[in-house]
Order: sequence, then structure tokens, then C-alpha cells
Amino acid sequence: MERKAYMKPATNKHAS
Amino acid sequence: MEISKNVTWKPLGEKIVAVKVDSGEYYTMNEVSSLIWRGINDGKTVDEIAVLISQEYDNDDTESIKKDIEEQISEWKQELLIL
Repeated sequence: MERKAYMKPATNKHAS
Repeated sequence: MEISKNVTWKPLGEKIVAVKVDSGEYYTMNEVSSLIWRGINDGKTVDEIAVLISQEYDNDDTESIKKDIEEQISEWKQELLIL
């Protein structure tokens, strides 16, 4: 299986 | 380490959206973060999650992956998404 390009973990916060 | 009971979440394709129930703030995660989140939900260790990521993504440097995982977990702990 071909591996995907690695990306640093990222989480975006959004207001309510 | 576990996901807070104040958080409800849902996978959207490869990504995850998590909502804080009390405040209504919500968080969108990229694919690698989503993999970490699922790993925590499944009770996996950081080492196990790092192996999973290196199998799926073209990064064989598990030490740097572990560092990235720890940084992400630290951010989630600050936001009280995980305990």
C-alpha cells in the first residue's frame, strides 16, 4: 500500500 | 489518558470534528491528528500510535512522530479535550 505524505498534526479551534 | 466526557466527536471522512458540550466550541483536526485521536479513543499508547502513523504516512522517523504526537496531546490537554 502506498503511504500518504506526512503532515504535522494540527487542530483548529472554532468559536461556538 | 482519555477523551473528556464533556467532548462529543464525529468522524467526517478521514478527519474528526470534536465539540465541547458546555461551551459549544468546536475543533477540526487534520488527518494525522484524527489518527492520534482515534488511537487515544482505542486506548493505544503513544508508541503504538507512532507505529500506526509511520505505517500509513511516509515518515520512518518514529522519534519525531512521537514528538509531534506529544505536542498534539499537550495542546488537547490544555484545551481540556482529553484528561
